[in-house]
Amino acid sequence: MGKDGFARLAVASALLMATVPWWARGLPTMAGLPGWVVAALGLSLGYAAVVAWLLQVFWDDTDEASATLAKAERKPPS
Amino acid sequence: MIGPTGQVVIGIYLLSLLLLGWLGRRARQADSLADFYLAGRGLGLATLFLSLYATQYSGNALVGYPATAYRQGFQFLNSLTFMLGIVGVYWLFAGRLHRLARAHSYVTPGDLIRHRYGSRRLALVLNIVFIAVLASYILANLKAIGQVLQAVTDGQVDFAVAVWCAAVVMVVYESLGGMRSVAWTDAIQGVLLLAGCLTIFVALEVRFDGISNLLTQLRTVRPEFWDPPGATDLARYASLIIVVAFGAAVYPQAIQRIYAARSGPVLRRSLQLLLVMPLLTITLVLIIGYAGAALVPGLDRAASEGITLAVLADLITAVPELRWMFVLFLAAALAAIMSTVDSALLSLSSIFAQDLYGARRPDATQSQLTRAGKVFSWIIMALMATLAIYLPQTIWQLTVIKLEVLCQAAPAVIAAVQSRRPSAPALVAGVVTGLVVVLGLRAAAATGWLPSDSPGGFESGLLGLLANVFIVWLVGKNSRTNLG
Repeated sequence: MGKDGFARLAVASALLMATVPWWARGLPTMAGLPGWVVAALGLSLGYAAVVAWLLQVFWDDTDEASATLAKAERKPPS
Repeated sequence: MIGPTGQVVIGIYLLSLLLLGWLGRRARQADSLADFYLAGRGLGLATLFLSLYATQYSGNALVGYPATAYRQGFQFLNSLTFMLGIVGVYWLFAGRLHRLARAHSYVTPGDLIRHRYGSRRLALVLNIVFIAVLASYILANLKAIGQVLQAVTDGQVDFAVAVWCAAVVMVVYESLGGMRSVAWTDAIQGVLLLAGCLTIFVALEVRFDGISNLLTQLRTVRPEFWDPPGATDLARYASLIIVVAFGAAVYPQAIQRIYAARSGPVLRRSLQLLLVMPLLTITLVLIIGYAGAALVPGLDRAASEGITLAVLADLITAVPELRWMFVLFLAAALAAIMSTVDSALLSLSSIFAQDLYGARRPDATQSQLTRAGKVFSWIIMALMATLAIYLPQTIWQLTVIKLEVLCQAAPAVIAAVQSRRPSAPALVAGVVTGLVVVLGLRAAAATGWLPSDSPGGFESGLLGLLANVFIVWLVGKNSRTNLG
């Protein structure tokens, strides 16, 4: 999966997290907690893992990122 | 609640902060803005991570979050999401921003805007937003220091004395060592905050003989927590996540810590570690709020603001040997508040020195600019401490400008780092529109024109942000059409 794929995954998990009380409110009680709360906790862990992975794999401190930035620097601001 | 021994411990803690200020001064390598305000761009992993952590989690995390959890129940679980979301937003721009800051010697967020857009107007508009938010933050947190100290000493320490003592300690260590002192004290404060949260959690685990028993008791006392959320709750849940994630990611003090990182990999690892902290901090402070709901039900809004202290009092009544926890809580609360105030003060001082004073005195040396920033710190701290003590509560509440205002700066900052594609006039129009929407809704709610500043549960900050982005798109589109 490329950078765009992971970015989509991060956005999708962020959207899922933000709307969890809506789509998960029908879930049954689990471990004494409302189902949607368990889903929110699980998604939070998943989101943290995805962002940690994104930071590891796609981080602008490589030579390639440096070259891209240098190229962008030569363009005047619009 | 804390006796003379506790007061001595707190006194020693405050003196240790001054010692760190002096050590920060001794570690100075140059008399320059970058050395004073960015620790010579040399913050290592542990200091950077703990400093980012302590700065993001203010006293509100220990006092305000449990109170909100007490009132809103599980719906305030979105606080866990928005604290994680902040790191997600950092991923969008922090790496490239760090590289830009190194390559072009940025000190303030205004440097980024002037360099990338060449627009003084956009930098000015964003600086007005930053100054208003930072000043409001300092004021609110100074007030919190006074309230916490007064409460835990049963009024033995006067509110005004507490505010002045904390203000003087902070401004002294900040003036001595700048970002070095602030980051080092942040590191201690971060450890204290985490220790406070973990200790109270362990004590609650023992008190209830397991968190599952807490849930059972909570379900009996507050069954409404288990009700499915309504439409307004859903809107509030989602919109708060977006507002806080984008607003907190562009705090000027957070941006300056990105500048101050020793290297890209150090910044990346700090952000990865930061992803763990909501789970270790927010989850625990929410449990304090839920424990409060189970132990002390029926409090109104004002009384619930003291729920953390009420839970601690219950724990000490049940287990008197835990009396020392009050001292730890006080140290953790003070640490959380002070780490936020000192960072906001340092950021405010740098904006004054570099963007305001420096712009009027282009011939001033780095040493003169740094000195001007220090003098400004003393003046602004004196002003804020005076306002915290004397401003009437009703007026003070109106000055609490929060993340709904700050998140209006996020599109401009992220665009400046990533693309420079929307033009500066489009971004100015966007920020101004967002602010008009947020402040207009706030004014309408304050004057009774609207029942709340969050129509339908949607946070005013989100509505402002949507208007902001729409105007940026619209103005940008028209500009391109006219050019074509």
